[in-house]
Amino acid sequence: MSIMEYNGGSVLAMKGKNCVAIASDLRLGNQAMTVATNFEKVFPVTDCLYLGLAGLASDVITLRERFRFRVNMYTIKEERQIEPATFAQLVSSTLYEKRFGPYFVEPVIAGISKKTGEPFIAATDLIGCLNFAKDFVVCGTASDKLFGVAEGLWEPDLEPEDLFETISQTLMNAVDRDAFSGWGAIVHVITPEKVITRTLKARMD
Amino acid sequence: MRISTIEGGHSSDRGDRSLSLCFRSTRVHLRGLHTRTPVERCTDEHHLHFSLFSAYTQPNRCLAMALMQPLLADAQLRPVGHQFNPYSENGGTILAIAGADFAVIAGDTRQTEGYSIQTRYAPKVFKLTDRAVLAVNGFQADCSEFVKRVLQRIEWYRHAHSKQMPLKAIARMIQTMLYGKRFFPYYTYNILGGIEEDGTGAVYSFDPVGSYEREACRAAGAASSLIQPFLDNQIYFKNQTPAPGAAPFVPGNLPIDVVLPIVIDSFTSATERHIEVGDGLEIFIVLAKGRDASQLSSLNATEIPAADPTGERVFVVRRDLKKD
Repeated sequence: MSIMEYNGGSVLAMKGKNCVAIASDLRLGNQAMTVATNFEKVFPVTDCLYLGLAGLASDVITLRERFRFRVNMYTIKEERQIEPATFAQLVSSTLYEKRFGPYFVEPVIAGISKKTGEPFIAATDLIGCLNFAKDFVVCGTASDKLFGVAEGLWEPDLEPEDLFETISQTLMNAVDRDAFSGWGAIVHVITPEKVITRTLKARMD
Repeated sequence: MRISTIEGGHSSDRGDRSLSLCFRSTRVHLRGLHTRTPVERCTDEHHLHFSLFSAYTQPNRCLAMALMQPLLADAQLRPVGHQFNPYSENGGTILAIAGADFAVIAGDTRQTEGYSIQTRYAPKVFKLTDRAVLAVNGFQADCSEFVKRVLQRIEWYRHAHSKQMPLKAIARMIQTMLYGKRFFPYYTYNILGGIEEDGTGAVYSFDPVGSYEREACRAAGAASSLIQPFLDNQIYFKNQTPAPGAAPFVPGNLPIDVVLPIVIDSFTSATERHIEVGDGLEIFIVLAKGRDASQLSSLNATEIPAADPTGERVFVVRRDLKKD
């Protein structure tokens, strides 16, 4: 048994035209047993920056709080909101601090730069090795399925509504083939003006 | 007990047993590590601990024993395991999709072992009859052996019954052949595609021990986890709802000009994200009797000569996939 698959769950982020989307499933499991179906794995960092954490649920919560603290400290010291690229470095260094006793999570970052308006996505492994992708990033127990479907459905320069459809279909079809993910899904589409959050009606089995 | 039998009678009584063991180990060590104690003669854990314990209870041997300990660990008195694994895994991926009056069966041509590419062209898809095509994936040696035997059984059937074996009969035969080796299985994932006797396109998928099912589509092999959810979405229309007032989706009823791009996209996607998939793609297309083949002309498809030119027809399309 791998500790990364102990609670299950998957997160996915995609880039569009002047927008990004980030989505997760809602399952919390204890190995094969489903414990909860309202366990969100995507958290707001600023009003246009979101963080997804898939992996060991206790570390997901620990890191959510740890990042909340460190982002608050940054905001107070710098007297400005953190940029997505800066936050990605913060995530990376926070994880690498624990290089030899890591948090068992794979983070996904999605946001839009306040300065440039550029969409930004990134993901790291559990020790903070950053992956700045141009198209999409995936993590969690359904990552191989997510890669397959996303590679087939994603195309460049999607408008927010098309990006929503693409990320939703990718997530739902991938987690439907994964026993450790699923039981509902939540999607956030981030545009410079607003964030659209939708809970999907997905298979509950 | 067995310890004394290792050296062959140095010890006269129980108390000396540990000593003889020590001397022996020393000599084994000094003689060189090539002296291997055969497994069946090896001391088992209990006996060894018993004798070590008895050495510590005799003070004059404590020092000797303590010195011996690292040697004991070195002297290869622990059991040496030998295992022969007759299977290996050669990567690659296959898929098949059924239409109303056609079937598409495809596979990549890369063959790998570990991180090495053994060859960039190892066909995985084989024409069995004018109306049946078999894709095999898994352990290449078992794959070729299995296809060879299936082809032989199909030839026997043709001699015995003076007709080509029907698709559903081939499917049942494959399940019998696979289950026949239930306790030393062929490590093969099979997908059989073709035309049924009623003229419909069909896909049968098998597990290595013969469990099988007729389906509209199936992916198997190294990148099956990447491709299958994509096919669920594009072929079975999973998680899709028809527009209000539109006709309901019917899986297994897509036209060939929709199916072929899905097949090609599946393999280019899998090639992009899976190291064991790539190099080349072979797509076999089985058309029902009398079906128009004009849609295949743009694809540069070559026809494989049929035994009965008036019946079903098999075409093959070969394409390149990325080689990195």
